[in-house]
Amino acid sequence: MKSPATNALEVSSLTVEFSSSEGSVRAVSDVDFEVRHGKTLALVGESGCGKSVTAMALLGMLPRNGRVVTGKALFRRKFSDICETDLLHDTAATASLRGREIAMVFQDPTGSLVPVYPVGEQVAAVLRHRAGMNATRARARTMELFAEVGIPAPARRVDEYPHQLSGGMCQRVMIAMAIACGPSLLIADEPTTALDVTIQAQVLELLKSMHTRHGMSLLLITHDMGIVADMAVDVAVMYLGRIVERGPAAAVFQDPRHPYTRGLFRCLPSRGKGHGSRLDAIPGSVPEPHRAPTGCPFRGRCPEEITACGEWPDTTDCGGGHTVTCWSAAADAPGAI
Amino acid sequence: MTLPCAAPIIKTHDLRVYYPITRGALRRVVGRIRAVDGVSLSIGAGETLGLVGESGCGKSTLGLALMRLAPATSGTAYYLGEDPPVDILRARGNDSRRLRLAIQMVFQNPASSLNPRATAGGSVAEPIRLNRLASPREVNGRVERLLTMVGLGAWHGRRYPSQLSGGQRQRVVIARALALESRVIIADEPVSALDVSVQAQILNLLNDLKAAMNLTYLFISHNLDVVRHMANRIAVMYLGRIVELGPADEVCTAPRHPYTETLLSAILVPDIDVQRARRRIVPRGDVPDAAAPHEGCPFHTRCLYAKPRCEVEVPLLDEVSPGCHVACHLAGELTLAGIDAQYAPRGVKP
Repeated sequence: MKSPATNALEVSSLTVEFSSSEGSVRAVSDVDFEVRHGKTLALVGESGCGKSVTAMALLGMLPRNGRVVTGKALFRRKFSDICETDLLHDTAATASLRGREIAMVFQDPTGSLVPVYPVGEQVAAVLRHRAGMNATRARARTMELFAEVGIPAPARRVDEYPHQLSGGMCQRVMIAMAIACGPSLLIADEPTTALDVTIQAQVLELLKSMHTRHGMSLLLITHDMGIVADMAVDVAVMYLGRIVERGPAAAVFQDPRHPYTRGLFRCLPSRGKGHGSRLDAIPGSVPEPHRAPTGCPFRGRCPEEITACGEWPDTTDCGGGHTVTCWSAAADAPGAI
Repeated sequence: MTLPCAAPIIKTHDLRVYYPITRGALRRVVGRIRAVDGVSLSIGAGETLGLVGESGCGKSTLGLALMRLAPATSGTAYYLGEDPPVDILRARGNDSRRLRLAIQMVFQNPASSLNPRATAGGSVAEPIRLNRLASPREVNGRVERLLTMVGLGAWHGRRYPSQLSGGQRQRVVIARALALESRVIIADEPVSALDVSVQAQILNLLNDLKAAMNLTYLFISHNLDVVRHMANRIAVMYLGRIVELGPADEVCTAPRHPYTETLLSAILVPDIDVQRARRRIVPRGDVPDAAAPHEGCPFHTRCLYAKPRCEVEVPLLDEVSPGCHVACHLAGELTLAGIDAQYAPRGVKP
């Protein structure tokens, strides 16, 4: 649909399995998506849908019992179509990209910083190892980065420990660390879930400004449709390890095609019919991966289930890059058989 | 909708909860965290009072103080649902038993508020047994009825918390809170730990139970969307004080305190056109330390409209119009933005 050179990241048929006491469990199956250069793709879904596992697989950070079964993840630097790296197979090249070209911001900022080193030293370490700076320059650059992400009094804050900073400040340190080497792709896994609403507003504004100022591409992992509405250009909705709907955010919000996406919208209190009214909850809860139904993963909770759902549905193109993987949406689509 | 003047079932006056900060081997008190700092509030019988605020504002401590799980430093709190009223802070013996029967609590994280080694049914039965509300033979039938009320089957009662999903566990916690036929339920972030699709189920359940059993809720949450959906009135807390209190729709559409405006502007509306057209007020800095002494209005350090007066004088919670209370020197002078009137759900086909 787009010329490949416009994509910063192209993931195709990614499948990740974990070995567990119940046998091997598929956490991610056959996932395709792409992040366009300088744009934001939101990967949306509830807990256990495989969105974080997808990010970990891309950075080669899967736990020991997890492995990539199939798939390709081509990473392309901006303005260079020649230099392509497959993040899933080219381990050595990926290791050198991590921190330099691809950076990550995690959900729990206090848990992601080392408690026994000053926060400034942790950011400086990235600069020394990844950008080859000496200690003095790295420290000076750290202070500049702290100022850039809006940490007040950087000269004092660099010598403080994580426990002396609030959650919002720790997340700013994480973002400073992530942008230290000017990455072209930033992966943010629920970057504001652990923060208060007013602090969430500050961090989202910061991510947006980093994104426009440095032209970074952003892969944003979240469960919050409000954050998607605020930040994303493209959306991919995941359920039980599969992408069930994806496309431009405007199209998906305007006309959600998959029953699960519609359910996610309908069950929000702000979409309700006012105080005390009944919310359209999705019945049941997400099954554990080894108890997933055959065929469409949403079977059993779906209000529009038909007999065909016992088999894995085809992906239907709704036009403009908006696709949906659902039998009943396929039947509604214009030009369906 | 319950009017603010409905007969109160719980009433507090100038309630304070200070936590001591101790240092050294002798646990010398070196300071105090003013978690709840002079809260006067009444909860009407049959209403849902929403309590919102960011972490550390004292909203959970206020709930715990009403359950007597946090010791109050000064002030009064009365339970008025029975004659004679019960002094919550000083109740002993039979009075404290009456209180426990009257007020129960639902906590945020169902995984940690259930005993992992007791079955779901065992957890629900325990309060019934301890309070001798039913003969040993009747207990099981009663537990079964409670589980049915919260949408679970009798077989769920034989499972352990680890065998239940998050939503099912929260249903068990709710059944346990209802076991004593209490009239007041304090729900502290009851849906924060749940996925959005399950969150809606639990909110529906809480509303159904309220209607069926004429319950009163103190609904504590940081999520204004959820609180607006549930509450008749909303109280906004900041640094241990209530800064605004009024009917839910009025607080959300026409806030009177700058902090409420900030909280509302931080809500992310799940609609691209609406959300991207909204003006976001990003407050300066973080919530100040509740242990550090502060003068004047607690919000003046982050307020966009602060005047010199706000730095020295503490504003009192005044009734500015019937049922609407606000603690701000500039109340009446400011026109603040709320969230837009309920916008119609778009793009979602029936």
